Amino acid sequence: MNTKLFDQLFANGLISAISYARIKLKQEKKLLSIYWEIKTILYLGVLLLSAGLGILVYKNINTIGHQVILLFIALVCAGSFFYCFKYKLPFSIGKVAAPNSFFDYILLLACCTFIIFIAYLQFQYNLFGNRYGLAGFFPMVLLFFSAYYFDHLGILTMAIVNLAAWLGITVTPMQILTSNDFNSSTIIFTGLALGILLVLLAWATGKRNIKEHFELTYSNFGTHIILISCLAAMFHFSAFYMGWFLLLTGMVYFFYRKAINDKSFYFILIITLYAYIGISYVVLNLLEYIVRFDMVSLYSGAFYFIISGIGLVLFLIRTNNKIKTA
Amino acid sequence: MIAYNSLWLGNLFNREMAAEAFHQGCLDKEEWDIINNKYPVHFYSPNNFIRIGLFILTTIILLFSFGLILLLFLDSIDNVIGGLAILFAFICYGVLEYMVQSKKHFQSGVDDALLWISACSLFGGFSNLTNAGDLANCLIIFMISLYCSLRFADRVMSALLNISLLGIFFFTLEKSGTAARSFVPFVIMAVSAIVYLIVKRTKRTNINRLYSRCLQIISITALLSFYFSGNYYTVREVSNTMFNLNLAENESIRLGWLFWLFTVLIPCFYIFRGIQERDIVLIRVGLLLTAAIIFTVKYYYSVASIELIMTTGGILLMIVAYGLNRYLETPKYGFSNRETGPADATEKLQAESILLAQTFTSQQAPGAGAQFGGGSFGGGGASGEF
Repeated sequence: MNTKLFDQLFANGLISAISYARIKLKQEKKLLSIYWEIKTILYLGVLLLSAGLGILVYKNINTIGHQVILLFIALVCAGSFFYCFKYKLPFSIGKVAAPNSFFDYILLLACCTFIIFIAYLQFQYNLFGNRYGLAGFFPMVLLFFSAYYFDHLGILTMAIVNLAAWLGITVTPMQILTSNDFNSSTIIFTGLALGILLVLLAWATGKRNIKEHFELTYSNFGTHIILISCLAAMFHFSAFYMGWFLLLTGMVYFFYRKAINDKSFYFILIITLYAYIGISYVVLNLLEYIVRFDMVSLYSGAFYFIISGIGLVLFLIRTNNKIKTA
Repeated sequence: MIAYNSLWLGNLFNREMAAEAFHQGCLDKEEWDIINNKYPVHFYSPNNFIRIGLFILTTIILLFSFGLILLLFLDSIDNVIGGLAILFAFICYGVLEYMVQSKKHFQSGVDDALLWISACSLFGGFSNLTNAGDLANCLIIFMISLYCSLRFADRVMSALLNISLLGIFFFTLEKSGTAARSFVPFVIMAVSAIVYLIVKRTKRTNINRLYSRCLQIISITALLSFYFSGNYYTVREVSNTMFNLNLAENESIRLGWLFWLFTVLIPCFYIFRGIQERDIVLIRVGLLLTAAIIFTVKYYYSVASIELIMTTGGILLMIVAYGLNRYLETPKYGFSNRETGPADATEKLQAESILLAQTFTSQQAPGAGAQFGGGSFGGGGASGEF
């Protein structure tokens, strides 16, 4: 902080003597927060430890005794859960703060080691036999439980990812487009159903006031999955793409109203982009259908993108003002 | 010199300081409001998400406009593409000046996109027309990014400015024979150090009010280039491929011990100086580079298997974090473990939860720890809503 500004403000009588003294004091005993640095170190520690354990299990599955590894993982897991139960603040359906900055990461470690533990049991001892679904089901339940019981957004996100994986789709941000085969109608319909379920959960979360701050996480995943599934359906069932486009339009309109209500710039951005992809697909298809002549459709396509781009820029600027002044 | 209204930029700077003081509990709400009224800012700067959207859309518009121009000259495209790119760059630049001067756009996404596209096509056009080599390319980038940094205070441009400056030195030495080549690491280190020190001086002057973010980016890139020009891995592999040394598998480079020393000591030095001077940027860069030490050592020596290093390293890091946290429970030596930013950090928490889901639930391949990209938190006073 540069006190020159505050010297001037104080001289002009714009800030009180008390505030000025506080600023001077802060300046003299300048405290540098390394909160985020400690958090990053912790995050890396947990990430390395759980990834290292995972690989350790994977590589040594046939050499060292299974019981030793299992015991070690179980100990880490139990120890972490023990810590969490001991230090957690009382449960409430509202937001509960973590008792310290460590707590969140210990819980994360506990959940990760539990997942590794279950996977190891299944792999080595075939605990659930051929009912692979169960091997995914138990970690998911534990994750949802921990997320609500200890109030942890990160765990909730992991739980949602696990729920999707249990249903057969990948929803982690970096893999959602690469790992899923959106050319299969099962994936598309599962995606739609999952998305709608998540949006409903988000709605219920807000309505019933149970962990209200979880709503954003649910609607974030729900919105993305629904809109991606709609787009995928448009490309896949190309004979009826108009029908799917209508569904997309309906969904986008619904999310638009919601975003305006919630004053969420983020949702405005993503629905604009998804809608733009859908509209462009329709327009280009129509152009190809009507014009059928290479150069002309090339020119008109370029014109379409320029004009529609300008239109959307104006739309975003207007919506920005609308939300700001609302 | 700067395109944006410099009075407003100064006011923005003051507002950010007032916001910092407010969030640290030094100012009352009324005083904060008074300060914000005293220092008006009339830029058009939308919310950050809208900025991303505007950036993407402006880029689409510009690319298709350029495509349209190219379509008109389709028959003779090879001969005219360089000239067209330069023409297009000037058109974009004209629009950019118009948006900034008349429409008061400031970091709105529109001006960012116009600036970058204009700079890129100007570079492409010149490079294409002159058939520029490495050195000439660096010179072109240097001049363009120097102008853009000064006129638009763009952070990416100032990072490019520093990188292209180093590039100029690198390629000049590379072309001056074998003797000169062996000085490359030292020259780059010296240039980086000089840049860093100059920037540090400048930060105390009034220039900082307009260019604070550019200066910060330049100092970060200078710190990084200072390290990587002395890092054993970069020195060995770059000189091996660029200068055709044909080193054998385990063969070391000349003065290998010196570069090993740099590799290990520079990050420690950064962290040490950072703690001494209470400079958070130095500490963050130092921490980041600690990872570079590990990767460099791991690349040449197999101390232990990767999973053992990860497991023990993970446990060690957790212990370090725990110890630091405990130690700083009451602030010591001017360091504290408390967060000083705005109390409501919903955005950070959301971003963190997505990061957790991304890194912990995907199939964890060996080296998952390489996704470390921390240290870039904060940086702006803009408080957007999610």
